[in-house]
Amino acid sequence: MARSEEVRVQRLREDAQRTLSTNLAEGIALSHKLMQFTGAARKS
Amino acid sequence: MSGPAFDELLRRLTDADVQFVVVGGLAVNAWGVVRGTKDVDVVVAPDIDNLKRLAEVAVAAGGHVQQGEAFLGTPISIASALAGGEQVPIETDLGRLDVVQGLDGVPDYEELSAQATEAEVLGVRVLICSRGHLTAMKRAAGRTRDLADLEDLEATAE
Repeated sequence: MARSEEVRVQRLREDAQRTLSTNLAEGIALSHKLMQFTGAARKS
Repeated sequence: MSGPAFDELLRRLTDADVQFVVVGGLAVNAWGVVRGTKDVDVVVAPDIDNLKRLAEVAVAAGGHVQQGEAFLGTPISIASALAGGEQVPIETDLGRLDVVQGLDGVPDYEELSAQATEAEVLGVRVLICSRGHLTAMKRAAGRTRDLADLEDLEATAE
């Protein structure tokens, strides 16, 4: 496994140890940022 | 649209006593695979009163459904579309609410809710489908995105 993939999987495992509420809040925040970014990109 | 607010959409559904289980991308997030998603996927209890409550929340949030050339923008028309048993994507000012139903490999509300886990969003509790149900649905859907999610979910379980 490449080093970058090892790091990614390790982070996934660490995230999976957090509460569902924490992960859900982070996922929602990320989705909002991405949608705002892609919306702004479409307008420009 | 002022911008997506998935958390506010979930809060409003809960406050209106809509019976639902979160599936799809937000459930993937909750189980530890944090990635962006473009909608809120839910499986709902299919009784008509529940569908009406959901439709009212959606319309209050500027929601509408585009079905071919038909534009559905009232609670009764959206509840009627939901009662048809097919998947219904509802565009709202808070983001897209995708009511998942009638798809192979997706358990019904009763089965999902029995094994679901609660998570808190904006001070309210919402049901997240179980990891087992989520991976089974991802496997059944089988699209590239689903298989990538499945691989990541399995990596977190090892």
